[in-house]
Amino acid sequence: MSKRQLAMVMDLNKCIGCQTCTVACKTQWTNRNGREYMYWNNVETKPGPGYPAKWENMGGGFDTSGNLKEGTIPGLSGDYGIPWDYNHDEIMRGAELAPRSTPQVGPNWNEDEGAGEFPNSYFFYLPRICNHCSNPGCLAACPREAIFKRSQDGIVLVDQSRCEGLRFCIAGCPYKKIYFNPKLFKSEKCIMCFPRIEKGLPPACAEQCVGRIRFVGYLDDEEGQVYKLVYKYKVALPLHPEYGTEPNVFYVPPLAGPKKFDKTGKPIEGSDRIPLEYLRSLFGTGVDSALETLKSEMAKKKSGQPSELVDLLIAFKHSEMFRIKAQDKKGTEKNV
Amino acid sequence: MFDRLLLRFFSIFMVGQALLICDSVFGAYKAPEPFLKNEVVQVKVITSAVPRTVSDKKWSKAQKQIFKLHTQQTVRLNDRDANEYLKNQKPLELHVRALASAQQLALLLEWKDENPNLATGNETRLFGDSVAVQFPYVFGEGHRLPYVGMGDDKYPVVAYLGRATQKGTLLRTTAAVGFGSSTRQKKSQAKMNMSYDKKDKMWRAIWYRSLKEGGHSLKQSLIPVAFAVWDGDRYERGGNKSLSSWKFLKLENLKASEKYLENMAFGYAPGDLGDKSKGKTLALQSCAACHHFEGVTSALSDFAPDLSQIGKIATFSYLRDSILSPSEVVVRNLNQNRHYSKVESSEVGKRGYPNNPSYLWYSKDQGGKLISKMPPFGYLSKEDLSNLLAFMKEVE
Repeated sequence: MSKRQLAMVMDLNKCIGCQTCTVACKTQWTNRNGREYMYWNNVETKPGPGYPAKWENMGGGFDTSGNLKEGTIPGLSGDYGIPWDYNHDEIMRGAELAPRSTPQVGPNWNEDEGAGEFPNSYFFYLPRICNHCSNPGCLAACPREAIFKRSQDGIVLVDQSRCEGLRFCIAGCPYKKIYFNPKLFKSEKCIMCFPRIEKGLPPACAEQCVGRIRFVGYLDDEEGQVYKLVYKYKVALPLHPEYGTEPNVFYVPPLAGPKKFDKTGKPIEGSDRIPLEYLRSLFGTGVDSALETLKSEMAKKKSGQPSELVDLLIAFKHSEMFRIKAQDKKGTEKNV
Repeated sequence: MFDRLLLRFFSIFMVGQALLICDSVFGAYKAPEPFLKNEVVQVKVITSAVPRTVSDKKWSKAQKQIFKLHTQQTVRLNDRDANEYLKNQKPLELHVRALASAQQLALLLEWKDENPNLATGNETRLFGDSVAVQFPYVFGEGHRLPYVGMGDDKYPVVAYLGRATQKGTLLRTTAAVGFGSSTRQKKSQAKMNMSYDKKDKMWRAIWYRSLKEGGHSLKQSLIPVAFAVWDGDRYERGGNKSLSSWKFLKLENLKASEKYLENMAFGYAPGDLGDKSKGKTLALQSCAACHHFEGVTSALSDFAPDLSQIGKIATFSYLRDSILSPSEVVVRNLNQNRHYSKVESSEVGKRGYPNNPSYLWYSKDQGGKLISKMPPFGYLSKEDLSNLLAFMKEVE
C-alpha cells in the first residue's frame, strides 16, 4: 500500500471517442521498440469486445475472499492484432491505398458497433488506461516481485531490471493493461506519465483530452474534484469492481441516454436506451444511485439552483481539472 | 597410472579433504545400491579439455544416466493455460552425461520434445524451450541440501538457465535463495548451447564451466545437482516447469566424505522406509489440515506447500528434515500479495487491503530467524516417520 494514491476520474458523458488521448499516449511512449502493438491508453466502444478482444473473459484479479485468480495471456495475432501499415510509397506511383498485410483484428476494431437493433441501438465510449490498482493483480502475480507501487502516489510500475518476461502479470491483470514487449522481453505498462507527474503536470492523455473528461488528483485531497466525485457525490465508479483489484481510475457512468422509440417512431416514456443492467455489469451496483444523483443535480442546475457537482463536471477551466504539484526528490509534493 | 594433470588436480584437494578421505578409507559405510544406480552420474575425468559440442566423440566415454523430471506443483502459478498441463503429465526423461577435466566440468543433457519452441521477437504467447542446471552454493559434509525449487534462505543455489531463442541459446547464470529471488550473475563464464535434432526429435544441450568460478567451487567428489526443463508447448516458464530432485555428480578418483554420502543416501538403505499405507493414514491425520496431496484438498489452497508429487522432487533427507524440524528448512512464499485480507475495511483516501497473514508459511522471531508455521513433528516415533517417508516418496 502506498502513502498516497493518485487517481483519475473520467466522465463518460463527455467522451466523444476522438482517440486524442490514445494518440497522445502512443506518440509519447509506445510507437517504438516492440511497443507498436501496445495501447497503454485505448478508447473502446461498449458494448463490444474491446482491446485486446474479449479482455473481460480472460480471467485474473481476485476472488471474493481476496485470493488471486488464474488468467490467460492474449495473443498478438488473435487478440491484440498485429499492427499493419499502408503502401504509402506505392500510392505516390499511382497505386490505391491498401494495407501491406491483411488486418485480422486490432484496437478499435469494433468502433461504434455497440448493441441493440435500429432505431434502439446504443453504444458509448470507454477510455481505458492502467487502473493503478490498490491491490494490483499484476503485482500479486509476479513470481519475481518485480512490480511495485510507488509510495508517494501509488503509481504501479515494473522494475525492468527484475522483470524476466515471464508474463504471469498479464494473466493476473483482469483489465489486460500490462503488455509483453517481445522485442525487449519485458512487461511494460501505463506509467501514469510519472515523469510528468513529478513535474506537476497531468498525464499526456488527460492534458490532451479534447472533451475535458479526465480529472487527476489525490484521493485524500478533500478539496479536489477526484475526492468529491468519488467519495462526496459517489458518481465516479471503478470499472468492474468485482475483479477485486481496487482500481484507482473511476468513471462517471453514461446517463442511460435517450428514450427508446416504439414501432411508430415515438419515444417511449420512462425507457432507457442503455440497459441499466449492462451498466451495472460494468460499474457495479453503485450505478443506480450515481445516475440518480447526476439526474437530480442536473435538474437542479437546469432550474437555476446552484450545483457544485454539475459545475465540477462541466470543468469550466481545463487546468483546474488537475490537482498535482511538482514533487521533490523524495517524492513529496512541493509547496508552490 | 595417474595422469600428471590429474595428480595435480588431486593434490590440490589432498590438504582440504585429507580428513574426509581418511574417514572414507577406514570407514565401513557403503552407499546403498539403489542410490548409486539411480541418483548418481559417474563423472569421467579426462586428460584433455572437456567437449564443447554435442557431437564430440569424447561423450561416448561418459556414462549416460536417465533422470525423471516432474512438474512443479508445490506452488501453483496463475496462468490458466500453463496449469492445464499440470494434470496427468507423464514424467520427462532427461539423459545426463558428464565429463570433467582438471579445470572444467561439462554436461550433455538430452530430452525428447515433439515440437521445438524458440522465443521469438514478435509474439506474446510463445515461450522458448529451456533447460537449467542447478548447484548448491555450498555443499559437502556438515551441509544439508538447499530447497530444490531455487534454494532457501540458509542455502542459496547457483542456477544456469538456457533458453532457445531465434538468435541461439540465451544463458543466464543466477543465484537464488527461494522462489522469485533469482538474481543474475553477470560475471559467469559458463557456456550453454542448445540444439534440436529434427530426426530423433531430441533437444541436446551442452553446458560447461570451470570447476571453480568466483567463490563457487564444484571440486568435491559428490556434487549435488538438479535439473529443470521448460516446454514451450505447455506455456512453461518460471515456476511452471519439470524438475528433478537433487541428483549427484560423482567425480571419479575423488573419495566422498562418508558422512556426507550417508546423509545424502538416506532413505535408500533397506529399513529406511516403512509401510506406505500406514504412512498415508498418518498423513491424512497430520498433514491434510494444511497441505494438499493425492486428491486430498480439504485445506485452503496455497495455505501450505502442495505436497502432490513432493517425493518426486524432494529427497528423503529433505522430507525427513521438513517433518522433524520445519523451521530449519523454511521455504519462502511465492509473492505474498497473492492473498489479501478483507477483514480490515479500506480507508477513504488510502485504499487497498493488507496481505492475508494466514497464508504466510512462516513468521519471524525477534532475531529475524524464520519460524515455520508448521509445528515440528519431532515426537514421531522412528516407525511413524519411516511410514510417512514411504508414503511421501510416492504421493501423487
